[in-house]
Amino acid sequence: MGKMMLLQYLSPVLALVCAPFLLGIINRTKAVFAGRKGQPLLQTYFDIAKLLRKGAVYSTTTSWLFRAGPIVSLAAVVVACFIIPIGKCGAPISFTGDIVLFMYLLGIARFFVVLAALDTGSPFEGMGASREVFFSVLAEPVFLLCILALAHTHDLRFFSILGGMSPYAIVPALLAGISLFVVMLAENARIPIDDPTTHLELTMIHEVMVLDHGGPDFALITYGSALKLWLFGLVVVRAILPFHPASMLLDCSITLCTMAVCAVIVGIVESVTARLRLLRVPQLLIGAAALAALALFAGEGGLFL
Amino acid sequence: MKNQLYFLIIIMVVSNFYLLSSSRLRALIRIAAVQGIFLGLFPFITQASHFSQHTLIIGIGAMALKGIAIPLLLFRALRGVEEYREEKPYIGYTMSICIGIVIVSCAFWVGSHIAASAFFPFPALISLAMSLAAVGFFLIVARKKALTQVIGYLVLENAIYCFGISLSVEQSLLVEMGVLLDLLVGVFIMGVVIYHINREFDSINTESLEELKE
Repeated sequence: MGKMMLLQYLSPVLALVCAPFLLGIINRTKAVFAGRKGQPLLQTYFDIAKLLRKGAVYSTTTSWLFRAGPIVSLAAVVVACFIIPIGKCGAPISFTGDIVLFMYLLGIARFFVVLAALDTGSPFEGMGASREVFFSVLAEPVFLLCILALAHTHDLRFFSILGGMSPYAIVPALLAGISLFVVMLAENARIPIDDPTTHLELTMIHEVMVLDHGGPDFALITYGSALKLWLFGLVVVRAILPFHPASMLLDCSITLCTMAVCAVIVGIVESVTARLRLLRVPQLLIGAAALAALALFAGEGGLFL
Repeated sequence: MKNQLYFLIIIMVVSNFYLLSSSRLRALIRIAAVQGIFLGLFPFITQASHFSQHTLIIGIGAMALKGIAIPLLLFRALRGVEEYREEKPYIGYTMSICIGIVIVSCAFWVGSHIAASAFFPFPALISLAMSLAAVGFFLIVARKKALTQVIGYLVLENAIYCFGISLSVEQSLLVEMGVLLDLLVGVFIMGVVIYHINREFDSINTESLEELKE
């Protein structure tokens, strides 16, 4: 029993330690595609460490909201890390309906980043906030739809959906997986929805909101977005993974390797596609919703087949 | 066997969504071709228990015609036309996908109420036929370019084909071939019509046909 309890904490600990590494893999893949040598795999850790050592400058027009934004949003995402299980090991927080808690935690995180952005009074940040909120309005239902499609024979908790004893039938898993992948790209502001490396404020979505944050605040935000990428990656990987070995540690390590592959795929997608026009983004997300709806019909014991 | 059938059905439905969301005319033709080829695979699965030359001809015939001949004809029809995309359809692409979701849900909901019987061994195929027919009609109504409307007609014909193979009764080869021939002739004529519309109005918008005068 004690060992089980300890294993439950494996998922959050791994997330907190390894999350920035995923960004390293994505950046390395993009560098290889562009024929560059690329930054070190651990660059995100160095960045965070450097930012934490810096001081911060606060504009006199901002209020406490601006300072609370990064802290609250990181705290919410860290709590979310305790909900998503990694394979069969389980997660410390697990109850029927924890999916809703997860969605709301991410919602709180986004809400506070948006509030902090609006608090600066900069028109660019307001614009970014409006876009971020608009796209997440479309992405959230798609995520829930995918989870429902995966969950229809289980109860509504992450452990029974993602830590399942048997893998999903290939067709619905693939449909939901593709759909979740698009949601992951949208929620984490990656190409083709948003370009994390762009330098033009007018085209930014997520990056423009955090322009005024510096030093430790920006470190918290960078770390928070790395954690969010990790969480979504975990959901995508567990949905698609076609076999779940009985051994817990084997299961866990296979999941981790697939996460790395998932990061490489994100890197490839970012290298071969251009950012979509803002007007086309809703179309992509609605397309993802269509796939998710299809996954809902197509499963074994699915609604209509 | 049932799994393979479901797999094909899902591919067809996904291609439906692609047809509804794409504005590029060449991509539309390509997707219609892919749909035709996968449609030709259906008889091999549904008629597997009483496989005959007949099945082979229906399957291969559909693949050759819908997957190769007709797309080539359409590409040929597009050759002289300097148009690559449907710019302003009557109903936008995002809305089209939403309507597509409703169409597919309704079709599969109705299909799930049809009990499998000796006559209808695969009710899911009937759902697919209904969704194909509705998407075909929708494309004809919601798009302006003549070529997209021809694609809608093709999808509609796919629905009829699909409905035909969902029945367990042996269809007459003559009827099937007749339908395929009709289709070929239809698309042939439409190709000529597209050419003439383009020569007359410098575009293949069917809107301009509304202003015809004597």
